[in-house]
Amino acid sequence: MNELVAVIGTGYDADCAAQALRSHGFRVERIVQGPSAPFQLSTLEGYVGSFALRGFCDGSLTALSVGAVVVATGNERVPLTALKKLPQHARIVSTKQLASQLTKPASITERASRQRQHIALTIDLMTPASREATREVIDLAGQLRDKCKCEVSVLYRELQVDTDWLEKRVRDLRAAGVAFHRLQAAMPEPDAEGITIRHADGQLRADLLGVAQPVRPRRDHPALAEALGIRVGEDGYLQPFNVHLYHFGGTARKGVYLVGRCHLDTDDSGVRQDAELVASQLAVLLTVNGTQPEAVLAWVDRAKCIRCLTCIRTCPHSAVELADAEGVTAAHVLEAACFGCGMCIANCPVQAISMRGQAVPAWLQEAAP
Amino acid sequence: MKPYLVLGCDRSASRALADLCRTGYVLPDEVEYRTLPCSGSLDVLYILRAFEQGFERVLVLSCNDDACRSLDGSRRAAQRSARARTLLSEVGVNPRCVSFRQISPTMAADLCIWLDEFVQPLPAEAEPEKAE
Repeated sequence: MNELVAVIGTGYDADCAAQALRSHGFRVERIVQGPSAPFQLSTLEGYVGSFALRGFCDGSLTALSVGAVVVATGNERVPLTALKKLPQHARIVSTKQLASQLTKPASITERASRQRQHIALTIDLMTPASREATREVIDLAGQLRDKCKCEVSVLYRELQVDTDWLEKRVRDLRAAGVAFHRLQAAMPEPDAEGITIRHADGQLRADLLGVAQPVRPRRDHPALAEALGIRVGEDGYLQPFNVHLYHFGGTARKGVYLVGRCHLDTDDSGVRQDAELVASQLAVLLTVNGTQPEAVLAWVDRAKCIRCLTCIRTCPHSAVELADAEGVTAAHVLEAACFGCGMCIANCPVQAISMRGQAVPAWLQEAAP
Repeated sequence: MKPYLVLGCDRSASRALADLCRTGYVLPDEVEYRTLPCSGSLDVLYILRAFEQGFERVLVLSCNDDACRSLDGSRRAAQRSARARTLLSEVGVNPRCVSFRQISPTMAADLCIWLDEFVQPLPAEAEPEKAE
């Protein structure tokens, strides 16, 4: 059993995934994605426990043998300049810019006490709220209030405080004097003196507006999903909205897992939790149970197979491949990858595939030709 | 021979039925329940052969849309049930004999209602009005 796990991606999500996997005793190979990356991923072949990641390294085709693949590519933040309706003004900055200024405590305190008397922060000014942006704004509001002693208002359309920590933090901030207002459709109106923002309770006048950058799925997800043999959801994230698989980053392909914001709307703590879940799932899959096949499996009658590739196209789990044996080329089911769903059986035009390990009802057997 | 056949997906319907049976529910005598590993494995022939063998009604229970572990299984089951209904109506059998429902593992209460409805006599098919 190969206990080397490939982690695709960079940044916080991939770091969390690698750390969680190492803590469970796995060896980790980090793979960077992108046009300038040294290893350009092409395809993923094989099955859980014995995958071959093929790609180009320095212009030559190479293969990396791994037991499982974890995708932790994260998401993208939309720059404020890409938000066409948002007025471009010196008093409107991103929350990331504001947070980076906080790393210079002396200057920001000085400036805030003199100039920035009132700072407004928006969570979801133009796009739907995300947990990442919510957490970022709540953290920043607390820092501005505590460190800079400025007056802070948080503006939102939808305030997603669905964890104990965040709920307590919001309650504490309210108690500390941070105002929370529900936004209205009107855009902020900046002028030379400040910014006017209309909200459900009236309007406020701020000296500076911090806008949380919206999140969106990475644009290279479709290419990555195609290479890995998994599916991209309708919203562009790496997992269809699926109530069974949503809680951990499982995919329809055994041994390929997703961690963090490439498939979930979550914040940093959610990413850590997700990484731990996936690492424990992999620990069970690769070490405790091994890669024992399912009790019910598809089986191809090689003599009947006409090599139409229907099963290979329809298998949602990438468990069928063409194989040569005894001079015959025919479809072959990879037992370790097969879930036994039977979809290939229903689609095979020559009824060359049958189910092993499941009793066929008598009434169906009698009627079979 | 039991007259009613229920074909349920292993990951949704069978779990809901197991939940239901834990509450003391007993499957009606006239119903035969068969588990499908995934409703995507349902073939039109599977349904038609059931009628050949004497079943009077078939109920297909599939996962909800986008809740299928095999991604497209529930959509395929819906299409094949519809195809079976079309074929049955072409040979003069009431297409209402084939029902299709989507269920999640937590919908045991709904399953109970559906099974009760399923064993009720099928309303007669409305005859087309004759042109005078």
